[in-house]
Amino acid sequence: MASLNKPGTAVEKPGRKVLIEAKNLTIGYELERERKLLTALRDINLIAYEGEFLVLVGPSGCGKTTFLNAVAGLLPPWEGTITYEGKRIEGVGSDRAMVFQDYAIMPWRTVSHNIEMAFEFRHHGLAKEEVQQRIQRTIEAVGLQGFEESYPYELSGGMKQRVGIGRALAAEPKVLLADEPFGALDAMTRQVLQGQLEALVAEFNQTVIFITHSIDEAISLGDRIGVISHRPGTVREIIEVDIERPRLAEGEITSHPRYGELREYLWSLVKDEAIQAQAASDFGDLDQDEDADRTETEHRALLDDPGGRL
Amino acid sequence: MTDTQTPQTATPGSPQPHEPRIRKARWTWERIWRRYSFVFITIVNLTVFFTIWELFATFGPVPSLIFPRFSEVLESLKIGWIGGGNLEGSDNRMLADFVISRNFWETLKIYSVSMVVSIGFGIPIGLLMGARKWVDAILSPYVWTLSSLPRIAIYPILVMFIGIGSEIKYAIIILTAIFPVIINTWAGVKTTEQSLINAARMFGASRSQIYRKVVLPYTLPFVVTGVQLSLSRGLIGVVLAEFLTGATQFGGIGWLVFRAANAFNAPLTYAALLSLAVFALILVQGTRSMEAKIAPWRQVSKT
Repeated sequence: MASLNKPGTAVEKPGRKVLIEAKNLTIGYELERERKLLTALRDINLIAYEGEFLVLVGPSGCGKTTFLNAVAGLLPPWEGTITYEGKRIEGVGSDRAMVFQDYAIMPWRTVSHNIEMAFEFRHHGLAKEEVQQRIQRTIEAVGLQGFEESYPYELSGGMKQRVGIGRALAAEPKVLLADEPFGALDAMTRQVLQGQLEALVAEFNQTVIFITHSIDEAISLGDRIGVISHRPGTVREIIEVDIERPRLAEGEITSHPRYGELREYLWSLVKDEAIQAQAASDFGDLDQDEDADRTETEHRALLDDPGGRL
Repeated sequence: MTDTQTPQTATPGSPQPHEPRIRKARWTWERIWRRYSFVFITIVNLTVFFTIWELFATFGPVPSLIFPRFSEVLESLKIGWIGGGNLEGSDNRMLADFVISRNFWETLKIYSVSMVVSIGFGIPIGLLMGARKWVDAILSPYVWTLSSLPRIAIYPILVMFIGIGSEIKYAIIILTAIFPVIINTWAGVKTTEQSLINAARMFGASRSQIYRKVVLPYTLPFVVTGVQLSLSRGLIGVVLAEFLTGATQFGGIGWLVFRAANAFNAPLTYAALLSLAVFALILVQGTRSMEAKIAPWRQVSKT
């Protein structure tokens, strides 16, 4: 077996520019009804270099989404810091955009109107026609020509997520945050969209932080893969995927000799975590209902606007 | 999908090399029946219903004082709506030219004004309650109590305050109709999907933009449902209010039903009731298509 990068060794890459850095980051949320504070991530140290595709894998409920929300600026850290180009992240910014697992596109808006959201709320200094051109270009880039005036209910799941990806990329943010974007799609659509995402990201030259619970997806897409342990999440190990790009444009990445090795190693790491997470939830940990609770708590947090960031 | 096919390509039995994926089906008796059988059955059904009514009232055991012939009801309907009744000298017991139409317009006036007020105040109250915790905390005891209380129970108090003039009608209808609007609007705001809000935040929407561009459109179908409920509740309210009003003439269609029955004018009672039923039917059927028009995205895609 080829020597794999052991924990820590792949983390530092002195030659490259650090774009996002989490230092001793601890973050969680409050379960208001149960009067409990739940730590989702503890003492996270993680770096995303400029232009890289960073994938985070881990068992469900390990706090991957929480991390992404922290990078997005939707959730403030409890302890530690999270920085973008050396500056603390204190809210959302035009340099970051997100693709959501449940698409989160507005059902009352057409495809092009949904993508227009990327320009709607911020000063971008673009003329109206220019915005329209950018929207049109984005629609072509994600392959939705002819569906500009369609409503989401007329689209398939894969097409809806193309709208979500297009909306995130339209204003050309530096960082793309993807929260299990293909989790709800069937295997075939998923594979097609993975290939298109790889091509799009290369074209727009983005830094990506991508969350998934699929090992195959992680290896197919990631430059580096961070394995997050079960709750409270910490970075267990970071491994580097040394398979050249483009990986999905033609041929099967699964037939690459490194693929099997990486997959096996990654699975050995993740398996432990999954079993431990499962055991924890079997013993009545908060894992089971945590997603529902979190959504509600975050919802309330938004409407009450504790940080005044809205 | 453009519809540019020529008639030839649509002819079954002679398949063209490149038939369009969607073609128009030709009319056949079977298709006509499948599509229009409902209308046909309804016409036959109603004809039979009114014929049996006529026969039963003419030959049946029920006295015509309480169960009139349908033809008499039609006669009252005609006089009540379009006039031309020769009523001089006869003991017409409330039947007069235009008696139904005048009462109907009275009802319609009070009903529409009250509905406009209910919807116009209900929506903003519901929105505020959903969006601001303290407004919710302050108003919810009153809203939930009043919406659960049978409205008729507060009638005596209303009478003490505003008497039995036409103002009390507005009060009763608004108190009946406003709560479904408030509660449904509130529920819409409260259930707005978090990921939609997060998406808008992510793209830099301010708090007020989130309310205008996410919460409000998300709530719209809920508001429509609330308005539908409120329209039919309001109809109950208006008839109730008219039953109880002290008006001596033109107290509305509900008042007419009540007074005509008291005067033992069965044809007029039935005629007024029938007018009300048709109005209610049109109203309810009209609001059923409202959601599809206002919030087309709520439709499941149909082919």
